[in-house]
Amino acid sequence: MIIPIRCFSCGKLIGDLYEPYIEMTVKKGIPSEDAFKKLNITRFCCKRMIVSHINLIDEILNFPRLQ
Amino acid sequence: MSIEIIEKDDRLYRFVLSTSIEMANAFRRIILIEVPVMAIDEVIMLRNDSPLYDEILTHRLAMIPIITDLKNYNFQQECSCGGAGCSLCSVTLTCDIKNDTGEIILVTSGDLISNDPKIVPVSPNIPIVKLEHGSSLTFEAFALLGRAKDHAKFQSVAAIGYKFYPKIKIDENKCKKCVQKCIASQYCPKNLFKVGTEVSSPKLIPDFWKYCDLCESCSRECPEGAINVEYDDNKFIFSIESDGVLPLDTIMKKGWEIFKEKIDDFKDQLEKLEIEII
Repeated sequence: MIIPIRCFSCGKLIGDLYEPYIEMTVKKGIPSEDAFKKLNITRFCCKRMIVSHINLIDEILNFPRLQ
Repeated sequence: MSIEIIEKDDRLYRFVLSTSIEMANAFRRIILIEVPVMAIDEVIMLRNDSPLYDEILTHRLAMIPIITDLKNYNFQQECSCGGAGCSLCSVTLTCDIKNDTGEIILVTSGDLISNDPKIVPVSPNIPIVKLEHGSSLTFEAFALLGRAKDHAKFQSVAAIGYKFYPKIKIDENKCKKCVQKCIASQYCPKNLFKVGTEVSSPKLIPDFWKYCDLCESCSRECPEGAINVEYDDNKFIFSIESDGVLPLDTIMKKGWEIFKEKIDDFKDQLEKLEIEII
């Protein structure tokens, strides 16, 4: 749905790192290995949180609840 | 017991702790579980038009790390208010947002308004939820002090762990039998051996112990069995990674304080028991 705030396994704060990661990799084309280094993500539990995430909330917002 | 600092950052701490393994593990567990930290514990949801349910939103709010002030706040159970909630034991964070921009907006932790300007979320960019046009989000949240043994949201560190201090011995007499360039040292995944061109015994770089993971690939690949990998029983390389809720120095000090209190408590309990020594 929306990026989890903490890593499920270790509890590191990763919620605020998803946007910068997408900015670096998708928009600027930086390899994800380098992007993780810049964002100080070292463990693979935190990396999978970001890599495997799909932002489904954008799809759901197309069907508003209020109308 | 002594501490020697290797690396000090505002979020990461690495040091060598010289003590027994029982003490080292107790220290690790106390920092992970006992150091008190603030987190949102109660939310009054007044209006929620977002795509997330109240419960999911509340859980997300609870996960936000909040900068903690240990000096001026008490545990709610031990507070003079008797657990009702007052300004000495809880912080109120409010959020009142109505989206009339005509676009989708992202509500972040920066939109939470705290009644104590020191007690705020660690980062203002943590996403909470997205709101469509015309919808609004209003709630009141209360942050309390708590311990991680009750809930993981009260964890003061993101990661804490230790590894053994490596001792690598190289037998030079066995190395003389080898006629070729040292193969075993090339297998080190962290390249901790000095690169030499001549046929001689391999040399380790001076601070190899900081990086060695005791994987033993060097000793396994040596045809003569000259490299022996061991570890020190009474020396541990700790690494602590913080969320930013508390400065790492405070976490360490508080950890030792709690450790001391626990040992004193244990002593008192032992003295109360009348044990007959045979």
